[in-house]
Amino acid sequence: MIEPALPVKSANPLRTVRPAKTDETVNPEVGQASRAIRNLDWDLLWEKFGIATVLAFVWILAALATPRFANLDNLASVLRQSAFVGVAAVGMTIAIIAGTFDLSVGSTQALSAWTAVAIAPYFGVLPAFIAAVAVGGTIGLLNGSLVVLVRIPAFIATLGTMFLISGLTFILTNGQTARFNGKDFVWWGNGLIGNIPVPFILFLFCAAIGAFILHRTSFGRYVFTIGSNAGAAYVAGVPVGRTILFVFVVVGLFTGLGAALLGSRLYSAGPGLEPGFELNVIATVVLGGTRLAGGRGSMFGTVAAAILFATLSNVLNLNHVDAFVQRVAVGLVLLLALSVEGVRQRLVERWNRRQRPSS
Amino acid sequence: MLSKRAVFALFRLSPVGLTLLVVGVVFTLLTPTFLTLNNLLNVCTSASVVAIVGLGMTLAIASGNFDLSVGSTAAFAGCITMSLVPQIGVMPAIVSGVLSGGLIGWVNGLIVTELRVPAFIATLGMLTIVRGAALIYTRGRDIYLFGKTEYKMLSSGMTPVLLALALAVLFSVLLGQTRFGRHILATGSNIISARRVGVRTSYVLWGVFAIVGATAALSGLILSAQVLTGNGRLATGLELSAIAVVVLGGTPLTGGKASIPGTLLGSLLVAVINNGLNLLNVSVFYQNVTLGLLLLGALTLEALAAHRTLNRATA
Amino acid sequence: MKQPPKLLTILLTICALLPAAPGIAAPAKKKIGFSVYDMQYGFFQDMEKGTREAAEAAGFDCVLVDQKSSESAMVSATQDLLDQGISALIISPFKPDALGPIVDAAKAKKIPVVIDDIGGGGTDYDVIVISDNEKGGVIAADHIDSVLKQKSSASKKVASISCEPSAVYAARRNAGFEKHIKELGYEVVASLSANSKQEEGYKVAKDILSAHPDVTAIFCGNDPMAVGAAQAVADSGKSGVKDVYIVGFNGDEIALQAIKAGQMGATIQQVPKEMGKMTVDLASKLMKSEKLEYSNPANREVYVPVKLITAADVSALLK
Repeated sequence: MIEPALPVKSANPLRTVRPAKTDETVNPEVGQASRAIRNLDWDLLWEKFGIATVLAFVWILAALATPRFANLDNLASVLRQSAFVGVAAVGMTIAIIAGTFDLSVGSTQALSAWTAVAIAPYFGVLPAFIAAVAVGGTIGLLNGSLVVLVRIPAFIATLGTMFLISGLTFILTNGQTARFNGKDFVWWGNGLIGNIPVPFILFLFCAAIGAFILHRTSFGRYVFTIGSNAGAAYVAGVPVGRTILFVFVVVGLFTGLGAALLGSRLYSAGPGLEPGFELNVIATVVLGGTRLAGGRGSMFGTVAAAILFATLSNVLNLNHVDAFVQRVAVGLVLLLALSVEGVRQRLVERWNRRQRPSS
Repeated sequence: MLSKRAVFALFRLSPVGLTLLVVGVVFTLLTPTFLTLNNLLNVCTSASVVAIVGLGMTLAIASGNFDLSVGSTAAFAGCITMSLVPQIGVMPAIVSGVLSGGLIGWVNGLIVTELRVPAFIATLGMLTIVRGAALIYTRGRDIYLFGKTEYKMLSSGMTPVLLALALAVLFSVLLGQTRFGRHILATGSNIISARRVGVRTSYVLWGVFAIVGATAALSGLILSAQVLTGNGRLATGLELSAIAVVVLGGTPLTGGKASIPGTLLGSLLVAVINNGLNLLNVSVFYQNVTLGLLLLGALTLEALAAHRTLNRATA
Repeated sequence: MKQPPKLLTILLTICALLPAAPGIAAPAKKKIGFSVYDMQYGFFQDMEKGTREAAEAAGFDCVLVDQKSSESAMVSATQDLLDQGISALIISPFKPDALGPIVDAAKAKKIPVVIDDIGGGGTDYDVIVISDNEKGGVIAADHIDSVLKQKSSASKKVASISCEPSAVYAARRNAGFEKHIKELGYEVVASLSANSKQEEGYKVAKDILSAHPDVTAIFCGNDPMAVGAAQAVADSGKSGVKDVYIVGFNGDEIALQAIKAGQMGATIQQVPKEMGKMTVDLASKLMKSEKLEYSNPANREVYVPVKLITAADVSALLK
């Protein structure tokens, strides 16, 4: 069994090096959470539950400071809003764990959403959703082929696809937005089951599927291994090319589903791109504890991070924070939430250095 | 007649360069305006704006990092400078603008090294913070200087092109001949090893991010000089263009290597594509598609060239 | 291995939430919610000012949310407004087509919906205050025609620079312009987008001037692009009034200054401040269940005329 060495691919040169635990055998990702709690492994605990803890704190504080926050209506609104970036983030989590990312999700969303809204009036809800997911998957296939077969770096391949698909969407739609307000269709994006918004339930469902893929399938195992060290994975016999191709398809599928939900929520879909959507999705994944360098990640964290972002903008709106100041606030929270991890690491290192005076 | 070998040699040397040549020839054939002096100057100016920030970004990527906040820094510097020109004069205002960009870059560096936030996220956060700061500073309004024409010198004639070329030479020397440059490449290649051999990676990264910030500010100043206006909306999306031209130029995203001429060629390619499509009055819908296709095409060629090299080596 | 307490996170979230404190003490004034397209633009800043001042004058509180040019944020931020107990909603929608869920949610809470410009998306709003974008383009075409007619040597070539493609309602300005100018016998040699950005207006105008040195007029879909184009013309050694007549759209202060400085010819002025006031008047009538007077009852529209502003009008406006 090949131990993951120092990761070669690195967008963050300052990633801390974790010594491999000796009892991690085949499929090391199963049972991580329970092992973390049992062994009180703070590294792992923070990675898995850190953001969820922050989220809990923020909700409590928000409820105390802003009475209107705790209204059922409002909470439902927050959960609903988290789902649209969240579903795409589920796919992106898998991509980032595999050590890659996809910048074209914004344009994929536009085309898929439009497909759903255009098809729904004529063929019904299910075909519309299926079509959106299929469109997403196809774009994912395109991305995957460019990255794996043509060997174009993911950054620029997906950037190029973004331009391509966004232009195609404009041409296809002739710049016009499609609208549809059929009750069955819009229920998916706007409805409630009990008091919980339907898109959020779908989001949790997607996250569960994503977690299952990551932790219980060999594909997931390959994803983690490739993310840790692609070279070593290749030598160990992991089908790197095929896996990465599937990763992009998976990203596309989830993005397509999220797009259909968004089209349902907005009763419409147009060719315009959501500004900064792809960066928001990536930020959600990273905030959730998944490292950009790959090899490690947490779907649970992604869910918590998506909710956290939605909560943040909701709280800022409820408190009538000035529009420009809101931008600064969102950036600050992102930075500070992630620097908690960094500061914690430094304090731990300093503590360790004091324990082991040699070297 | 060029022999097959020579073509491949040329190709291997610079796929981007070859693509640029091909695109240039195509546009020349399609429209007589393309090859005129005036138009070429426009193209070079517009390429220089992206090239300047692209050169800074090359250093960042060579050191193993990204800087997504360059667009916001450009806007911020533009606002600062435009507001200072009436008060302290053109040159001092320009210097202040560039310094403010360097300062923002340094803060980026601090966040990456001291708070251990990955560069992608750190600069993503700063992207929104700095843009918000620019909007707050200007209260969302425009700062314009219609009367002051001395400031225009920054963007007129050959100035942007000369600035870009001067920076290119400077950075080439920096990377190739100085210790700092070597340290940048070492940090990008493998930061752990670099630290082990004594490279002060924190200081190196502070320097790199400060440089990126300063180049972003300079680009922003040129843009605001073109329109004689400073506002918080300037240069949105500059970061993706900057990273794109660096990657197009052949600098690997994994760090450790840099291609300064590649970045220049990449900027020129993107500028040529934009310019040609405008000259041909191609509808904006099709412009995006064409840009995407050309980018992917250029990179496919680049990838194929790399393969051919590999095959020849192993054959 | 002890984990240091998460003081930082707790502290920062407290800081983020502190502004909430003063909100609850004041007695219940009725609240009007205003959801705006994007506060980054002078046009909407003016609209917000007009709305807020009118609301305060009428004795209401005005609560603002910014859609930041995002349709998804439009729906979620406006939903946040609706959840705050407002008595009326005024919205200037980034994507009118996505107004469906908002209007439905407002109706469910019996909150009247007043739309300020852009479009109504075919929804069941109560009233929309709308300036006619297409008509504005036509006015610009007529004006350019009248100016160029006085120059015997002027070629019949004009150009059109439009806003970002996803701003479909602003696109009507250029569509109206291009259609009418062609009817008047001119040729539109270039129709390009500068993505609503000033620096791109500069670049695109430069390219237009390269490709068509004899172009005599450029119509821009908004003022920032027009000012950028004016600079491009100036940098080419020409005049934005005498050689290449530049017309913008919006009536932003920067354009008025540029017209005054002789850098561009004219702009089509919308009156965002007045529109804001009008929406507040309409909202307060709706809150009292009064009947409204429509310019076009079939679509529940109240028209706001757009005005041509030339150099002659500018000094009166800039005080």
